[in-house]
Amino acid sequence: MIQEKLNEKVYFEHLENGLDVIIVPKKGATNYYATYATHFGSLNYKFKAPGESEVTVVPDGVAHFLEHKLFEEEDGINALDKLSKIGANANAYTTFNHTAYLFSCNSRFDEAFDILLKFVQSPYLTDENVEKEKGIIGQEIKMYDDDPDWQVFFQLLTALFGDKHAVSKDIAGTVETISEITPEILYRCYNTFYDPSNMVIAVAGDVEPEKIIEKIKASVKAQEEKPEIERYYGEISPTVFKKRVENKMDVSIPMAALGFKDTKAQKLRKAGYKEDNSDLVKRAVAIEILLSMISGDSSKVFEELYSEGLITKSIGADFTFEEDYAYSAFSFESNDVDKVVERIKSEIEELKEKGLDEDIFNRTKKMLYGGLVRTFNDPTVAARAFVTDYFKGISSFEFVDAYQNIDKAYVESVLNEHFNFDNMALSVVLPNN
Amino acid sequence: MERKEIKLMDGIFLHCMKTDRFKTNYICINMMSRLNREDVTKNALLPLVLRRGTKKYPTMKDISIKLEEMYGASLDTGIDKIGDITNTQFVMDMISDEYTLDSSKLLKDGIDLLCELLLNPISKDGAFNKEYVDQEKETLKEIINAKINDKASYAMERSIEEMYKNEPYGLYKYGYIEDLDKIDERVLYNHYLDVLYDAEFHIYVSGKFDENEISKEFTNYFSKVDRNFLNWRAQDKAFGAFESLGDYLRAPDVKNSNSVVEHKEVIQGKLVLGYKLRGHSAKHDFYSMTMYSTILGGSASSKLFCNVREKKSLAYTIRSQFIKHKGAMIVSAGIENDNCLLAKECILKEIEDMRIGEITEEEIHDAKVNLVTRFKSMNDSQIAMISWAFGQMLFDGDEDIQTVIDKINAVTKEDIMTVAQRLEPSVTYFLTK
Repeated sequence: MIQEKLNEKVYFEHLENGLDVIIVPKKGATNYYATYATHFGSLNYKFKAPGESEVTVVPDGVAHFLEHKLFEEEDGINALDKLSKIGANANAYTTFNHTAYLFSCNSRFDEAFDILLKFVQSPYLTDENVEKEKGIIGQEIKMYDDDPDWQVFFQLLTALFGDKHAVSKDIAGTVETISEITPEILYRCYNTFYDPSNMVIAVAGDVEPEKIIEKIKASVKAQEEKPEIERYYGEISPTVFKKRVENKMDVSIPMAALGFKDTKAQKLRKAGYKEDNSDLVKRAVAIEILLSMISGDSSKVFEELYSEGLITKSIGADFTFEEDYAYSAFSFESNDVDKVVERIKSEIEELKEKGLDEDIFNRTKKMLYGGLVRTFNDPTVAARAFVTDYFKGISSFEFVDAYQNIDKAYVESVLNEHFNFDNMALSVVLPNN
Repeated sequence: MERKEIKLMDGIFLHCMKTDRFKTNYICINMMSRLNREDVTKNALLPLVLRRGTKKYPTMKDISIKLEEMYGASLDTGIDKIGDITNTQFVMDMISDEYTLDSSKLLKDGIDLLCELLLNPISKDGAFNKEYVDQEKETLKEIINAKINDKASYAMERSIEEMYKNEPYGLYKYGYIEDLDKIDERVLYNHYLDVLYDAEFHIYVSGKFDENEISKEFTNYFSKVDRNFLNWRAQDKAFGAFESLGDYLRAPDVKNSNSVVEHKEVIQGKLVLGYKLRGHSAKHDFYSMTMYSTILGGSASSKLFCNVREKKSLAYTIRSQFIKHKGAMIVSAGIENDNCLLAKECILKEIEDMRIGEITEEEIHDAKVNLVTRFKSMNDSQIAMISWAFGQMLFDGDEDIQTVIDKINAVTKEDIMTVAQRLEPSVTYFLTK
């Protein structure tokens, strides 16, 4: 299947073994980019593998731990090193719902791609190399423990969804949970989640899509597509778990995030990116427009708070929707967090009452559309966006039409039901003194 | 890509980088003046006040609305140290006109807005708007205080302060809170006029455009400025040459090395080791030192990454970097608070190995491959190309990326040892609980 927008073509292919492939070809590009990703993230601590009757529970931080270990190879040479030697910059990351291995280079793409395909498919885990990694990941965890933005963010997730759901677990786990990780546990997760039917490959750059597909078919094991893995995320607190969470750190100013739990997005979501998920995309676009209209740089809220000295930089605002949860969040720094919250609330109330201004609505649409065009400036950035959206069950191109076509009445209806103060929670990190 | 430098008037240069590979256009105005203790806070405050309003767009809200109408164009100001020079940047990017849904002329609008911001601020009777200046003093106070929020960059910043205690480069680029009382709307406005009077301007534009058209637009704006450019950078070696000549053959002065331990409420310790290159020349030492730093701690196959992180599990983040304009080499690591001595010993062992030439051909080869990829990949990013061209122009005229690559490839082990033996320890800094 080929999709075409904004002078770019993107190829989608679903192979017989269940693997999905996304290719963003770009004639004349200097850089190549490839990523090999699995639908396995920090949310997946409890699951039932296809064909099994028992539910498996693993320690927090396993997906991330595996990400670190997969570079290790039986010949003793780290795959990161192999890629680096031929001029490819490799990396990997773990999110709530996926783990991705990637590299970029500007020559010897075929060799680098072979290394990527091989190392992701050949885990080499020993007691010794697993033990050694605990020190390194321990330092990674502690680095995040000192990061106030990260702490504000996780506090908010717990406040919104409760501590029984996997979204409240730190992506890397804790020093205690990773101490329980063994090669057996890692192999068990690897065998379940690193199966072609649970994975996607994306490639960008000056490549021929047919050749890429052929290469992938030759290197990824042939088998029948497996059924879906059953995933258990834990329970979401039916109401907001805590209205307010606070913590203290060595920071110069209170940092806060104000979140609204969304209850509709996951009901709109259908499995697989080939399904029609346009309602989900439409909802996401509506909420993005609203966030920008409520507190963006040209909003009344921002103007007033700034001139009163209550904020000194832009208010961040994002809508996040994943397989089992969704929320929007405003983030800001202020010496009077409660006043900022009050102002955002009263603006929402006023918009609900008066409706959205037509001119501002159109201007906001235009701005967000421009942002999308930029995404496709760089094939590497575009490929990343396609992978992230793939795990949400959508194609990034769907946003292009959605931003052009969305109407004000629909956005107003979303305003009335998404920004419900009963679904609101506040997370704050305060200075120590 | 087609490059052309046009001298608009004395000390004001337009650098055209024409390319049709992107969907965006970039404009970047660099305004350079001397860095010194007296002006550092005023320099930092100036762009904050300028972005508050212009004669044509009197409020921040007016500017934001204009940016949104321009399909979400982005406008940013920034301040940086380049050696002992202070550089204030005014940057905009916007989508190319062909991707707009109407007949917008975004690049023209962008030049207009950026020049308005820099050259036509709101002012009256020789002073800026008092309210704007008072508010931005508060904003700057927040920015200065926020130094502590990111612990890794705080440790780096503190180390540089210690290394260059009595030099302009040791100043904090955002200035000092104690200066703010002495600055008001009149003082700042006078400073603004002083800066415009003899600042050196380098304007970069990347994308699709007609250079005659844009040079006319810039000339129109800049011809109204009261200027007397004396080419201070060429005259004053200390500020402009990025060299410290004269003490090239002096023996390493180890006694001057300073040890600083700072206590904060942190979970992870941050260790920084700072070195100075004796008799450095940004022009001549760049290639050898870049190779040195890449081998020591610049990639996943570097000595620090392989030995201190992978073999000893002492850190997650560990790297070295070379600051070319000052000839500084800095190693930084996030470690367990109790591991300071051990980590330091391990890092020093790698630095000593570099000095005595324990460098394999393989390490040299890997570093070259890594750097070539890095330099080539700049071709896919407009902002990377602009930054590189600007940095090059400052100390070496006009080397293109291929020449740089050839020079990197020509670096020998002896070259690396020679710079390694000129490195002098300057500071050991540890941020701990």
